[in-house]
Amino acid sequence: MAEEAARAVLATGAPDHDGEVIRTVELMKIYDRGAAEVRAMDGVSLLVHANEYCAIMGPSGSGKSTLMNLLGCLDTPTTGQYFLRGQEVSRLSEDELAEIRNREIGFVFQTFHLLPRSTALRNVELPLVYAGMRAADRRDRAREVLRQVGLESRSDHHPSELSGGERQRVAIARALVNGPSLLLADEPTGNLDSRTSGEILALLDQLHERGHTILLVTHDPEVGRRARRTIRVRDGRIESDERRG
Amino acid sequence: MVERRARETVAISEGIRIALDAIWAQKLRSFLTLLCVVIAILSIIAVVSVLDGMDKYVREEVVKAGTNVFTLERANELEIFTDFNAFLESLKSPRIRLADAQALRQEMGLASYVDPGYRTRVNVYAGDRSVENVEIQGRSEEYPGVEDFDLHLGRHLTETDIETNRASVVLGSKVAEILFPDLDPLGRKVRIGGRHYEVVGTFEERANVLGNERNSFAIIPITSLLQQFGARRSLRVYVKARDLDAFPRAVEEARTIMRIRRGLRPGQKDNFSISTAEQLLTFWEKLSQGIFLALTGIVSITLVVGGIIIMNVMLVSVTERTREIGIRKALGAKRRAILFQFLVEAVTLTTVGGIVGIGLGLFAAMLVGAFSPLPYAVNPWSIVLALVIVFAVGIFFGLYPASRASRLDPVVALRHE
Repeated sequence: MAEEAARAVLATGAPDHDGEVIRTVELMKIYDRGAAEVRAMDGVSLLVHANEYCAIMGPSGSGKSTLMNLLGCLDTPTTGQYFLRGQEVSRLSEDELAEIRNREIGFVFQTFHLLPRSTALRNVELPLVYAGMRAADRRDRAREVLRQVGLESRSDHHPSELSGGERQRVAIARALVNGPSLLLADEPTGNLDSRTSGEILALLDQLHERGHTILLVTHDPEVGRRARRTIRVRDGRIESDERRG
Repeated sequence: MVERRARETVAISEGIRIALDAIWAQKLRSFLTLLCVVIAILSIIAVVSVLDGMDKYVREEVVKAGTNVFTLERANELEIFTDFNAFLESLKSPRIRLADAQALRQEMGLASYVDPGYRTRVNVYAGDRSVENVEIQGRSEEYPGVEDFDLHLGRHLTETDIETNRASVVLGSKVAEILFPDLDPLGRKVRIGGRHYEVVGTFEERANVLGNERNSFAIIPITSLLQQFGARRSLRVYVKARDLDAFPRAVEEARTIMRIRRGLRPGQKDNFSISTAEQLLTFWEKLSQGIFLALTGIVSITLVVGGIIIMNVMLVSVTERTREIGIRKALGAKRRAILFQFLVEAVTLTTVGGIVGIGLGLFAAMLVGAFSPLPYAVNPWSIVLALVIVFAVGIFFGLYPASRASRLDPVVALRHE
């Protein structure tokens, strides 16, 4: 019964299987550094469907962070277009982007990025706060998602009282709580030991199975292998794009 | 609309919570930050309360002294503060003599009491005991009619005392206590300025005003005082009008009698001064206004300093929490939500300072009430005013740090260590 309810929660907001989640057209990001012009993103066109599990790989400085920021609507391209679930988001204002991030995107960061003075529950509630949900509903929903990642007993702990793996699971719960259409994980295992990494990756696999669309940024081939599709980035361009059965 | 309101309520409670957390996490810093605000609010509450208390006190005293008493004197001492040149000019006027008081007493139809007086300060001795710097008042037998003097022992001065220049004295409670700690003072001799006086009565203890000792005095016949200390002195004549309705006419009557005695022609200025309690009240109102203005100035400066400190602390806080701001933005916080959060935090900070200040201010006012004769009076509007002020200071000085926070780029903020 609880399992079923939880499954329903995790599936909320996940789009149709054959829907298009990401479509970019010639994304360019140019930084004007005085005399020199830095092309952090140099014409990236990308199509990601619902329920895909993609790894974005590349050496540091390759532009994968820039790509991540653009796809995560944290940043806007200098030129080019970005359609998220069919809506063009490349020309939106900062506040409109905030709303898109709140509704459509769940972030998982390498250093977890939890608020240290808030409990696990409060951290998970945060996106719901900005979605304007009432406190009681927020708490119920956050508890439910925490239960999903197996941390219901830790909901009143502060991040400093949790292990690395637990912190990342709180972060994943936070990313899922608003039922996003896209899960963006930036080196989610970069700060974890191999055993905990395995647990987190298994959790991501599970989420993928349940219908989530996941974009995983990593430089670790081991981690990248978990994804069904690997996009390699170099010098701000897509170098290769492979799919595995 | 409903959703927006819900969001803002969420943001307010969230902001207050974060602010209280931050204040608690940095107790010393919060204390130092809030010190200025606390001091400013404390002074508002305390000074407004004390002024209020003084105001009540002055009004009560004026009523007690009798609103229908006026004073005839050579120079109006209030002019020292209001028109100093006029005051200096009036010092050249002829002095007020005993004969003037006698004339008023005989000729005035609207006066019930006329009492000439003069004050000086000398040491008073009895045996090997002494009291220094006692206020010696020369008065006529009508002094109890113009001022409240409650007898403790014995009697007041009588007409005979005055007419015969008798060496009788009625002692203030402090003088009596010091000179005759265990003895009945009645009938005993005290030495005032080299002459022996017989104690015929003592007064009840009077409440002290603002640390002003009001029991170290003695009253002797005005005739004896002039005889002993020299007759070339300008007296002060207290006149009590028959009733309150007759008061303005009584003042005019006294003025006319004096002008005739002085041979002043119409159009010539009075060369004497008549002061009333109303004038004293007006003067007090001006004075308290002045004090209030000065306070406003001091408090404003303190608040500006406090506000700038708070602004800086908030700026530091924004820098320290750059990453937090980045996280919040990544999770969907709009500019306004961040702005609001830091504004609420600043306002919470100043409000906490305000509440502490109000508490201390009330306590200070209570202390003043307990250790001085001033009545304890806290004006409710001073508390409202204080809260409005801290609120405004929080908003004003919180705005800049909050807007800085709200304009942070989420990408840059997330990368911040």
